[in-house]
Amino acid sequence: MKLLNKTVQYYFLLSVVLLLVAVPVFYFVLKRIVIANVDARLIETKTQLIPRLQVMEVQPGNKPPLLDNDITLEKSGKPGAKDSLYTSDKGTYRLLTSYLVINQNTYRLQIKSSLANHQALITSIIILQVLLLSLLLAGLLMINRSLARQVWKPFYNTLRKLRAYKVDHAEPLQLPHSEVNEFEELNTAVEQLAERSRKSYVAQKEFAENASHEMRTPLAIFQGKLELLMQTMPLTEEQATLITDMASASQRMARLNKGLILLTRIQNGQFPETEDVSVKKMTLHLLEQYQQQMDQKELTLEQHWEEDLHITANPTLVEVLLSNLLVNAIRHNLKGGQIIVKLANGTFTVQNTGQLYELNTNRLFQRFSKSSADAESMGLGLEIVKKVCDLYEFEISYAYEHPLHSFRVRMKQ
Amino acid sequence: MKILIIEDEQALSKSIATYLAAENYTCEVAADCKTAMDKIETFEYDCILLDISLPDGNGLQVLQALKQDHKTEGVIIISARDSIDDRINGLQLGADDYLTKPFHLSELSARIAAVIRRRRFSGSSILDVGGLVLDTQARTVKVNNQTVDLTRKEYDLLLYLITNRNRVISKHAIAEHLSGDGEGLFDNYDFIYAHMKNLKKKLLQAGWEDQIKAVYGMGYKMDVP
Repeated sequence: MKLLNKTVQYYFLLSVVLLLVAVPVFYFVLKRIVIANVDARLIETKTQLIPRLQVMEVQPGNKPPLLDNDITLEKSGKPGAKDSLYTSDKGTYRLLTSYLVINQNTYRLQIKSSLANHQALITSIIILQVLLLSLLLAGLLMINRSLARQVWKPFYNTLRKLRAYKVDHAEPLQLPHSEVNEFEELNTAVEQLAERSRKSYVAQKEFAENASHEMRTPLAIFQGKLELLMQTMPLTEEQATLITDMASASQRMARLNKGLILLTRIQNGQFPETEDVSVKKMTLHLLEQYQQQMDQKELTLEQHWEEDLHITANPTLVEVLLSNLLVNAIRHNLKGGQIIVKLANGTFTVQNTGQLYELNTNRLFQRFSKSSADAESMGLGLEIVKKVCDLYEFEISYAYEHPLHSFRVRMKQ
Repeated sequence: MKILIIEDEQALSKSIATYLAAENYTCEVAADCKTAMDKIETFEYDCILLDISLPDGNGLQVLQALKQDHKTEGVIIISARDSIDDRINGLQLGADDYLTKPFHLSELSARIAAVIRRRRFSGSSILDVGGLVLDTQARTVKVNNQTVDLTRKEYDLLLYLITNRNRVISKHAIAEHLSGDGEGLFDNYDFIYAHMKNLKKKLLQAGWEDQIKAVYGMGYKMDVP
């Protein structure tokens, strides 16, 4: 539920309750006033009438000439009763009954006054009132809503900007100025938060980049010294094995370093040049390069080219993307396994046999999440793939379709 | 042959000098721009190895000075930076090659040899080593005046071995060299054995006396007296 509706809801509730209570109360009060008024008039009529009646000759059987429809005078047996005021059974008349003595006879005087007119008046007033109150209520609601929408506008603006904000974008988060203190404070706090996270992101990125670059010279020294060590005489087999292991490790470090730098470079948007790249051509070229590796593992390669896809992208990055997928398919394959490369409907698919269970899809595209026992896999490949996909808004997905691991990249832009 | 190493990391320049000494190169070292400039003005070199980040300035200054003086030395940039821009910058300024740290000394040696071969005005593209005659321009190999038909990779491998003769080349360096720019994506070195086997077979068939030997699974060495 929107905050806007939430506040309005209470106003609305209060207004409805007030309306429901106020209208009957108003009705009864009004009715009371009218009756009191009518009673006063009845009593006044009576006091005016009595002196005139007392001097009047009353002939039994004849209707007294003074009296009209609303006033009746009858002989009554019980004298001295008090005056009484009451409403007729149907509620259409107000009656005053009084007893008076004329010529030693007790008469009952009854004066009635119609309430129908008053009733109609009350009803009209109530209807008008209900109408007015309802209109007022509706108007209030509408004003409140539009006002609230107006007032909350900066909040929604902030929310929208915040949603669109990405920490790896170069420009800092800038929120519009708000007249309302609360929103201004919120904006400032959010801006500060965004700036802090952006700064720490940049710092982290710079660290990764600098560290990777700084690592290169010592790595070069290490590698150089190892090569010199290989030249030393005499060299025993034991020493040679140790040196080879070290050389392999340094090779891995060098590769890791390259991967890290490539990642930061992609994140920094340092591959702005784009050109028309044929996915099919590039894949075929890569497959040719990897032929030897595939032969070595006795892999069978199946290719399905239903179309050739041309994309506008940086050729280096496309090559990185494709080669990482293909190399993974070869590296994590079983001896005598199978690789299927497919391009159809704008989707590039690589399928390969491998370990017989699904990879952990949650961590698949994160750095250093190794997926197999192959100690040499550097765990950066798929993250690089993901970053390239993100950059060009390709969609990458993984599925395990027994016994094949499938990576699909939807490239149609 | 004289080589100037402009590199501020002493440990690295010393390694390079030691490795290259086996090839009868005379190496001099300059650890900063100023020393490098002085040396360039005074002496002539066959090849200059240039690090870009130096303590007192950018190595590209040295390159610019060289080109302004119309010096003909071959220049190989050795840098920790490897972005395409850095490469293009260096090559546009007139560098002959660009090698990113970390590199294999054997690779560096091969690149130096290539630069010197290209720079040599005598036009001699013939390498005559240990009974093998290589024409580096035509990319042909002759044994006993007989042309041996090699694949591209086999030829590259042979040239690599020759330029690094009398030294052990690690299998990692060979793998990286052979797979070119898509270097070492695999940790499988079996393909080197296959190439090596074929190469040796072809050379032996042509009557060459085998001088290439494997060194304990560490790498290969070509002995040429």
